[in-house]
Amino acid sequence: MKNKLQRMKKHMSHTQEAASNEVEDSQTNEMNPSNELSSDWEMLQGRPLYLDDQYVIKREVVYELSDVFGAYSFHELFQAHKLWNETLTFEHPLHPQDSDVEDLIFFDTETTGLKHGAGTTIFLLGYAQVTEQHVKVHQFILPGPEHEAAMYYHFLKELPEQRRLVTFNGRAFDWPQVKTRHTFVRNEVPKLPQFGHIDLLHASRRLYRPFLSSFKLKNVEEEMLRIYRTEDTPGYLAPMLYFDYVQLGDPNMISGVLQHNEWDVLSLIQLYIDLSYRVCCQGSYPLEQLEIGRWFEYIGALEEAKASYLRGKDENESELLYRLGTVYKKTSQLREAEEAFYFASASEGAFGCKACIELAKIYEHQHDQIQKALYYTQLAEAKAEPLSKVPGVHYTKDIKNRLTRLCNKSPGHI
Amino acid sequence: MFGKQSLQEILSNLHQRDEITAWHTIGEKQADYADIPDGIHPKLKEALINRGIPKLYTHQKEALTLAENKESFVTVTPTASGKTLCYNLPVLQRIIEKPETRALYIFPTKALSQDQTSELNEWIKQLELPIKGYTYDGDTKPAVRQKVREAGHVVITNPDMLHSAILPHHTKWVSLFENLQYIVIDELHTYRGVFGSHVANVLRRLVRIARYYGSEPQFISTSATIQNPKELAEQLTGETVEKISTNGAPRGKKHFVMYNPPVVNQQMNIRRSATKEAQQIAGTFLANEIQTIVFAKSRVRVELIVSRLQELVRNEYGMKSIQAYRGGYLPNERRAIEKGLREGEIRGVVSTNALELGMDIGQLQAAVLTGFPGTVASTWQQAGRAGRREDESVVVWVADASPIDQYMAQNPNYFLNATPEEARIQPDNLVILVDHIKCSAYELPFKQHETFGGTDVEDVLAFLNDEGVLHERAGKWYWMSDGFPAHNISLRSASQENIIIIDQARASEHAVIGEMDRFSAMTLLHEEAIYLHQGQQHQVEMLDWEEKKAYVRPVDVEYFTDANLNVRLQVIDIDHTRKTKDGLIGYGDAAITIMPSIFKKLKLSTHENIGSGPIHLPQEEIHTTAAWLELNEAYIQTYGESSFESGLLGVSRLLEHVVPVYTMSDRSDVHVAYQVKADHSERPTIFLYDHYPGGIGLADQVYQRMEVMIEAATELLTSCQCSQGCPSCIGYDENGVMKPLVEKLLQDVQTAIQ
Repeated sequence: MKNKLQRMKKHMSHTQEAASNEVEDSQTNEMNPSNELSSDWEMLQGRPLYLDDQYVIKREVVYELSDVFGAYSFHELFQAHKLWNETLTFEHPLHPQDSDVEDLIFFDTETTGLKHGAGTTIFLLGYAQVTEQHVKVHQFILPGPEHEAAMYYHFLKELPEQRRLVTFNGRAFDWPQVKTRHTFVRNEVPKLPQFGHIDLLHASRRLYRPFLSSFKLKNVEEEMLRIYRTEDTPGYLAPMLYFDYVQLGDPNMISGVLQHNEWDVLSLIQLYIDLSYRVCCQGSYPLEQLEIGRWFEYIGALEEAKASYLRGKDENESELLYRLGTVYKKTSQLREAEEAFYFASASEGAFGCKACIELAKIYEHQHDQIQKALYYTQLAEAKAEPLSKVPGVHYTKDIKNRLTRLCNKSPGHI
Repeated sequence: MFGKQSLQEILSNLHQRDEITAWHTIGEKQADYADIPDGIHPKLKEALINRGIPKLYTHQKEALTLAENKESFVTVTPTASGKTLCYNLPVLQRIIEKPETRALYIFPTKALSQDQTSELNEWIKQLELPIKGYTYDGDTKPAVRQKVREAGHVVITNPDMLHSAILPHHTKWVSLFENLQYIVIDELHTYRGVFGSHVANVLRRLVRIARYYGSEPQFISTSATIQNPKELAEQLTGETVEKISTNGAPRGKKHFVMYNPPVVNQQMNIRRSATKEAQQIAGTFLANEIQTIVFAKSRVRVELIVSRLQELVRNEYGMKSIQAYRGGYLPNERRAIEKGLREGEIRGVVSTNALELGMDIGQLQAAVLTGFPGTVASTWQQAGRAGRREDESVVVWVADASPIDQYMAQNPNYFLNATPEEARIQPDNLVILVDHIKCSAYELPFKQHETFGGTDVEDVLAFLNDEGVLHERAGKWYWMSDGFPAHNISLRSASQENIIIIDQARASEHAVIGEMDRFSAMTLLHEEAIYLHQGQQHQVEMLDWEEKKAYVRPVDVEYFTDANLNVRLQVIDIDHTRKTKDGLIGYGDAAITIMPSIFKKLKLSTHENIGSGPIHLPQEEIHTTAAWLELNEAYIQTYGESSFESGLLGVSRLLEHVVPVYTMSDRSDVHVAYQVKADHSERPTIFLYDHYPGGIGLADQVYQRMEVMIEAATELLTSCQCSQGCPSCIGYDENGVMKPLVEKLLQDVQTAIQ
């Protein structure tokens, strides 16, 4: 059998992938925590927490509130939290709602693979928590695959009551994977509670769109938060390093991964502060005000949307003006809508064109001024002409129909 | 209309034809009924009666009883015997009794699962109960997936989906696995060979996960008639399986007619085209208002026959009365055809093999089969399309020019008396087994002493531990790799991917016109080769071996190419041997090295050599299982070395033709090689080896039935009507010496292996 396995080896699917995975010296890590948890884990601020014959390594790192990590000091989180509660509607996805600052769990995991699936293990559950006294990073590290129950047990036990998760892509990746692995130990540990969840990836995509082309956390950190990591262990190496650790038992092998995760959860705090400021202050320049306004519009907070758009109104940004017009229209402020559309209509391009159509509608249906409606429709047609080559833009047919109808209403013209 | 002939009149005319090589009549049979058992829920009983089923057939009743007794079983009954009720009935009954119950239906193709989902949902609709049946496949929208996972009582899927989407994500399917009572495997006989061996392992994984969640599901399978349905079901499911083979459905009188088109060129043994003959026969039926189904081997032939038949009936019934039926039709398109047939607007259907797989379009009075579909079992399945419950019906099988067809046509008794083939699988093929152990370990760590479908896998686990894929800790083997193993493992193709063939002339569309396995590609798709695709010559302009693509362009040239392949075969382990009168039959492990050397350009008309060139390809090596026949070295002397060699070549070609018939496999699954002096024994040897790393049990079958194969090869040669060898037997030989030589050698071999 053994010979046969060796002979067939090259026909097997794992041979290419596993080549880099081989560990030369496979002295197995004897499962004796007292022996293993020598000074190595202590030096990494780790200590064991037990559950029957299983254990998990709990690592804690404390920062001062006045520490600056990137663009902000940590206690600005209180400021951001206050802004949300003072100024803004409850509906916004970034709103902490009834959670206090210390209930915000800035959460990130490290896994043995990047694909979802039952066999992808989470070997590190990490979160940062900001209290009145300090910032504390909590990490639950899986010392071997047979200790999962201990990890989830202690993690779930320590979480605060009113928690709200703050993650970067946790809605699609980390949390579903926690659910998957929790299923394996569901009879030994507490149930997974319901969480409020704020996903900052989604928020970053909306607010940083004018500035970034890649929304990887590293990129967001460098471009938006002025966080520059030195000697960071890249995430894709984490599985390999963890496998080495499991085989050889030396915690130093994953110290880089612990550091990486620690930085991740700390920059989530920074990111949350930054995004909160931007949204709460409704942006500081038109492109940003536009994005924030659109977001409010999307969640149905029309007044906030209007406020954001209004802040950027004087900059002659046609999309912003057009959208301001549509929001006014929705709140039945037709005169204001007309004014916004009028300013937007001055520009070339898609929004100038759309604004002309809106003006034509207003003149036709509100003011019953067919000639003016016709004028703006023709203007829209002229603006649409160069756009017709842009894929996905199809105003022309709509405009033609409108023209025909208006011409019928106004015999003699054309 | 006047002058229409009845079916009897047509049959008596047909009877006179010289082309008929066999006429077999199967008598009629009355239905055997059983009452609907009292235990059946009133709603279900009402639904049965509403659908015109006041009584069950005996086999349906038997299925119900076995299911109630929590036994696994396989039903083996022909087309249109109401086999879907054999599983739908017990499953629905149990769900009504206990609404948490879940069932998983596995169909070999997506089209079939969709078909069955609509069938099941029609039942559910009549029941007016909150039961949910869903398809879960690659087309299922992400938005519905969660609902299917949580609330589907019956989840209908295919093995590939189970392998790569359901099992690796089993934690999302907790409510299914915790309550999994029934696993239904329809079309069991399609799970054979490499594919079947993979599926057996997927089912081992499935059972493992079900047990983890505390379920002990029972298996209900249905199969076409094959020789070993019970054995196959037990191998696939790992359970003890009962067999239900008494068919309670009624059957009308049925004629099975074998028809061999007339020879038009005696010397080359060329016969009239099977497609044309089939079309003519079908035309006669259709012209006389007999509803007919025609089976053709390829989609192109389907189109061809449809257009000719439409031409024929255009004035009388209109074009729409003849419909093509291809794989991949949506259920509603199929229902339209079915309805058309029932109401008489549609008179003829022309289909590829798609219909062979259990799609229900109702029965017709006549079936015309163009060519042998590859196995006796599927021939009978196609034939099953003809024959309404009580009427007389006819099946005409038209042989085409392929060697297998000619063998069948000329040895009708082989076909008519043949027990249908055995379906073989080899779940413990090491390459396949190791792949699925990886997937299974990813899904759930292996415990010490845990078996995998009864197979002891500790050695495999230790091996994977050494390879760094698994990691042993505290008596368990854990998945320790960042990969997702199911994504690298395909159930449908051999471990070597196929080469796809791209037509450069239609480069803008990147037209893929075909594919070919790697080993055949070495001789047929090397650069400058002339590749024939549906009668059109193409020249291979570039073969990208790494990317597995061959770029071809249509050409019109006066030559074909023929490649020389050096095959080196080394026996590594001899597992069994048995001595014969003057020879030895062996079985064991072999290493096969294949290296193409040169190719020749041969003139089409004269086979004159008009040029040659080298082939630059890396050599390929596979380790597999082989059966072989060793002969006395004295033959070399008596025949003379070169004559003897061409004799062996002839015998090998014949074996290539007959072996797939006897092993229920494709032509590319078993390869034949010969050596005048084999490395391991120094004796003349013919090898037949499994063309899949590690073997899938075909060579084993050949080993056990070597005598039968040699006899079949002899019959094929002697019954072939060519004068000096033709492509249907040993290949054309312009000197005319090869055929008698091979005949003599085969006689000697037959004596030797007595």
